[in-house]
Amino acid sequence: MYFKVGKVGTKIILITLGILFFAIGSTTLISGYIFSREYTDVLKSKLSIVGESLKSQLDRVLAFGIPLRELVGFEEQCQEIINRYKEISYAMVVDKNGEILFHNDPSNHHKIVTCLTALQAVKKDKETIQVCPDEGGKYLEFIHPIFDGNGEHIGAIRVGFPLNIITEKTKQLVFYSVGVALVFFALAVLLLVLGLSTWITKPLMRLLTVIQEIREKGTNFTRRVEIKSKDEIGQLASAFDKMMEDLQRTTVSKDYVDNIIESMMDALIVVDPDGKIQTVNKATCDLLGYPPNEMIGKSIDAILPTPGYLDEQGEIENFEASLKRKEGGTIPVLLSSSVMRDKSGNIEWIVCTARDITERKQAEETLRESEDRYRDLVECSQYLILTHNLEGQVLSINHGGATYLGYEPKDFLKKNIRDLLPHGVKDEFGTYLDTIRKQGSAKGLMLVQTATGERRVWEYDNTLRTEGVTMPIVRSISHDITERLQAEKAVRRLSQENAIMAEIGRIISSTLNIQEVYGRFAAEVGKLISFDRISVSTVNPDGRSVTIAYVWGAEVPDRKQGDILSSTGSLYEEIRAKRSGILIQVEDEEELAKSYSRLLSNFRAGFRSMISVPLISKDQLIGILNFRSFKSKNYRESDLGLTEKVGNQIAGAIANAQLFMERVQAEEERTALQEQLRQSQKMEAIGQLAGGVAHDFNNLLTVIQGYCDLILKDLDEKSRFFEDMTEIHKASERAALLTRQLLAFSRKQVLQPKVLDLNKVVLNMEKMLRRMIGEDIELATVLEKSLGRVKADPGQIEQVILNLAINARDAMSNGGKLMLETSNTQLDEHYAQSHVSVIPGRYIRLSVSDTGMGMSPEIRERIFEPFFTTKEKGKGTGLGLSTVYGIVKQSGGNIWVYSEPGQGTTFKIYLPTIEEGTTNPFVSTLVLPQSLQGSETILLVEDENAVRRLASTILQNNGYKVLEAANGEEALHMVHGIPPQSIHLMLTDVVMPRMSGRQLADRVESWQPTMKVLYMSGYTDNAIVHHGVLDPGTAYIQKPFTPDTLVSKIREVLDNS
Amino acid sequence: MLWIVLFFFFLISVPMVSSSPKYKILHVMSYHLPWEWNEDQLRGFKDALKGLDIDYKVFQMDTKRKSTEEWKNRVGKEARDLIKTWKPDLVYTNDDNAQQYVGKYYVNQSLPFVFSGVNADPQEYGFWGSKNITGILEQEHSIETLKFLKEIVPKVSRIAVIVDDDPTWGGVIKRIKERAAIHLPGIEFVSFDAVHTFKEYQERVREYQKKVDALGLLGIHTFKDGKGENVPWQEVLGWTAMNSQLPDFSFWKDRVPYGTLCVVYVSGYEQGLAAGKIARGILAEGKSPSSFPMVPTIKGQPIISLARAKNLGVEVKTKILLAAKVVEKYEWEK
Repeated sequence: MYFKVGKVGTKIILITLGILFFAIGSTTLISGYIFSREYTDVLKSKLSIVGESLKSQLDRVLAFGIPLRELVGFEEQCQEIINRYKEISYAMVVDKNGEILFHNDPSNHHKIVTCLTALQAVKKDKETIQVCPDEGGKYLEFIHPIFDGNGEHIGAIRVGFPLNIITEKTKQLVFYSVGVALVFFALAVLLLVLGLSTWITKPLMRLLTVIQEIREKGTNFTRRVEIKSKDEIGQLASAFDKMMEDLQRTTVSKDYVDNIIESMMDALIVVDPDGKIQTVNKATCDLLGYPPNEMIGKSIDAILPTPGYLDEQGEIENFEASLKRKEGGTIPVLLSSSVMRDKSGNIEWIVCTARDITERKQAEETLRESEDRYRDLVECSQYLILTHNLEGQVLSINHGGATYLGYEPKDFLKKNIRDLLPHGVKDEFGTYLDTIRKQGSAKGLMLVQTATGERRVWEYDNTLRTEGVTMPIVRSISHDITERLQAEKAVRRLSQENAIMAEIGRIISSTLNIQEVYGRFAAEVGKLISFDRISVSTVNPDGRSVTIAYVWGAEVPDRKQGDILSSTGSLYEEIRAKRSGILIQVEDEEELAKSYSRLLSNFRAGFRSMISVPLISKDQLIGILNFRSFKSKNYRESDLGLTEKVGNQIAGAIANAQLFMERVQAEEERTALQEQLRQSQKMEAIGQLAGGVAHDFNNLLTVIQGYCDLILKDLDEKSRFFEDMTEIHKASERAALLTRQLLAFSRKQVLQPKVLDLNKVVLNMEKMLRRMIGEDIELATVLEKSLGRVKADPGQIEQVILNLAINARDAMSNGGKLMLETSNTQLDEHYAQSHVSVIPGRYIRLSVSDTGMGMSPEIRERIFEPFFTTKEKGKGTGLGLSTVYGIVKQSGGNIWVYSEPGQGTTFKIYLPTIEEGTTNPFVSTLVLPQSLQGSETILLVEDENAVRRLASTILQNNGYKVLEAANGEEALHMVHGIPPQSIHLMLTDVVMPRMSGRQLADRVESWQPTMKVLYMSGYTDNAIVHHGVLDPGTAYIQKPFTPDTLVSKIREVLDNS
Repeated sequence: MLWIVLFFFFLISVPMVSSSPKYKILHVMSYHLPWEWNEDQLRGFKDALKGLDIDYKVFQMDTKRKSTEEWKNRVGKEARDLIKTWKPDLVYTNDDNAQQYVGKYYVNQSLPFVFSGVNADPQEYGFWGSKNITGILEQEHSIETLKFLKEIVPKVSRIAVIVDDDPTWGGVIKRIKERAAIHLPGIEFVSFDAVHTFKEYQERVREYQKKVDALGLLGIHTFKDGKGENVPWQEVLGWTAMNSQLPDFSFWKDRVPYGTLCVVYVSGYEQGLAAGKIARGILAEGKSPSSFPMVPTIKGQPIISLARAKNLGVEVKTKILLAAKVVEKYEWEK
């Protein structure tokens, strides 16, 4: 801030302050006066309001008729008014005599008003406003007269305030006004000072400073005031600056020249004609190490390289010379000199300039050393660094590169690059040159022939230079990468091997299907090693033979997949001994025959290169991996190692797969056996059920049939009941047939087995079968000539063949072929293990095959179940195959069915072979009785009452005496009551509660030793039969029986001795 | 030009937009006009609704002068018919008969009802919980009256209360006890006596002359004389004024001309003003009637018998005379 007392700013401020003081003073006085008047009016107005208010309240109360003096507590109203209006100093009610009745200050009650002016006013009946002098000062008061209810003046209300309150208030106002004015005054002064300083004093001081500076320094016209304002001061400064610009433009000062000389970078030396130095600049002193004044007057020869140097040289320009420094030594400079002459041509001054070139000299030296290093680097480099023109002619080459290729550099300069390329790739050089011309650069690989004829691969990176040269040249840098390429190739192959090994490992671990492993393995290994045939032979468990497990590629006549070869004399023995692979590459068959005769078949198939490597798992040779190639010498020793690694990789997989297959096979066999067992148990259970039903059913049928026969015998054929009874009888016969079939299935029927030749059975049935199956079906029999014998019930076997033929016929509704085959066969332990209920041994196999529709596995599983049929309703009972099953099983045989949908069906029946001679099953040995009547005594034992009554009736009708017993105990009791030998025959049921028929017979035998026994039953059990075969000498009649059958059987037993 | 047009349009449209809707209010009063109680309520009600454009219609049931049940039913029906035909936006009902014969028929309907001057429990009309009916209860200013008495006679601290055998006094006494316990800890109620005969009353009044500082005369309507006849309450109060030197109080202003020293009675204006504020909230502010609780007014109107004060020798302060209504003479002196 530029502000000085006594200056322009001070004067302005003083004037301004004076004006302000006057304004504030006058304003304060006027406002004080006005305020005093107004405030007085306000107070008067308040006095009037207060007085009116009190008067109004007083009037209201007085209206109740209460005398003024008897009012209570009106001073509270006065006090309340005083509290509300702070300026009011008193409010009172006085009577007409001036006695104070109520006062805001109760201590004044009953006092007499002392102010005479007031006293006079109270006595008036008019409102009065007046000044009342009091002891404490003057008061302005308002007096309201009071009237009673009759209008009589009774007193007045006085309210007033001290007049000095107006003076005090006015003083306060003036005081505050002046205070506020002073604050504003101070702010105004501050702003004024700031404004003066910024806009007037400061610019003027700056102008003054510049003018004083110019005055003191003379010709320094570069100074400017530079005030931007547009007021008068700004205009003054602008005019001053303009004037200074004009002066600067038209005046050259000594300082100006001195400054130029002093600011020169080059040394300047002015010499008089006597060689004395007259002037030097700062650069000269700095260059030569002299103080500024020491050089003045010295001879120029003191710094020149040789005395008289300037005289010798005369005027020179940029001449390299060395100047002497004060401390000794020289400094290189570019020296120039010129001569200044007077108007007469005499030398007036010689002006010399010298430029320090020390750095330039150092740079030149550095450059030279650098070039030497680079030249050495290039010349000695093993890289081939050369230039050639666009025709390929070598222009330059480094020594190292030329030597590396076997050439002297000078010889190389005569060559064209094309000459270095071997035949076959020379043409590519033209392409290279085209690339260089078009793109300005080329990089790649180049096959180069050295001076010794060796071919090397060079990698080049060449660029074309066209600028700064007279003709385009190609800059070439290349290096030999032959070894690197070979190493990379080796690495790639190793990497590929590893990848393929890993892939083979992945294949092996991804599947246990060995054939899939072989196939994918062959595909992968083909990427590593070439072959025309690959095969895998696995060692069989006997260790003496191998199986060709896998073959891919060209065929060898006696080496096909699946062939089993003896290991004797084969490669296997040599490989097992060596436990390593064999590489054989021969061209001569005889030579091969000497060592490996077993490989001749390979040789004759055209293979000239062969590798066989062992497959070893867990230290056991499990097979051989063979590679065969038609090419001669296709393999190297390294390939042998590689294939051995491959063999090791796959051997484990083969072993695992073999183990897996064995386990799978075992698991399948176990599952099949379980299924057979389940099926067998199911059939057994169904058989038990069917047998039980048949037993009860037979009893019922016996009764129905028996009574039917009895009725029919007595019934006239013309009777209207005869036909009905006949139908009942037929139905019972059909029911009996079904029951027999059920018994057959449940293996509860009684067989009468004989030694049979199945061929004869088949032949005897052939004619009947042809008729039965019809003309659309061809019947063929294939019977083994020396067929063994079986022991079976011939009738039941016929039933088996018949039922199977019927089943085949129904399966070939559109015709086909039915084939019956017989053969001897041996079922070994292995077969027995895989087939439930099969006992190892010799069997006769009877096969019944058709070419019909076949059946699904679901149907096949249930085909032997009773009442299961796929035929239309009414066309089959569902008991045909069940009967077959029961008969075969009861005959000690087995039956298996093989069938697929659309592929026909084959039933194979195995019956054990026996060595006994055959009997003619079709010659009856029974002696039929002549008469069915009799008179013997028969003990009839039957727990079923109906059957017992029927049998008794039949027997009695035919003349027999019948003793009836409902069970064994009753029979025993009865027998013991009869003399011995008095009972001729005991007809007994076999199956009875508590005591079977057989047990009863045994107990009775001692008492009635001559008594014959005829058993009757719906089905048999072990009481009289073993596996369905009657004990020898046992007489038996099957329920249900007809009356004729019974009496015939009774007669037969009685008559046979 | 467009500016000018828009400006004038604005000037014209402002009054149209800002004008409030016109409401129709039906005032059903239990009694009749002119009567100060009704007039005060209507005045207070209208003051509260100042500024709203309202079309008032007043229906006078006149049940004070015609108190038969038949009449009440008839005018109640007429009032309901008028509601149906005139379709007011709100109905303002005064005093209990208007609730009994009009208001209770509209419980929980959409038409808003606001009442005032109701002495009975609003539940008698089913108003508690109603969504459309609310209003102002008329309950005695017991505390204010007692404070007023203390202002007149500062030495009062022991008070006896006498009531007749009307069962309604039980509730009043209960409220006095509850409120006094909270707001007037320096006041002791020596007794609350229920008497049956005028003789008993006289005996009690005499008995209490030396025992208490003031008497509360609540129920005085059913005292019987020696013949079993009902003694008019005016006579009861007149006897009291002439024979009792105890300052006494009650809660109903009609007692004061007959000698009761002081009362702070329920102000009809305050009742109407409070009801009007509720009506304003319902009509102009869209509030639900059920959002306003049914409460009594707070402010009461003091009244003092100057004649009785003179008899008692009580000097009444000027400020009391200025603040209260003043009855200068006994009724029988007029």
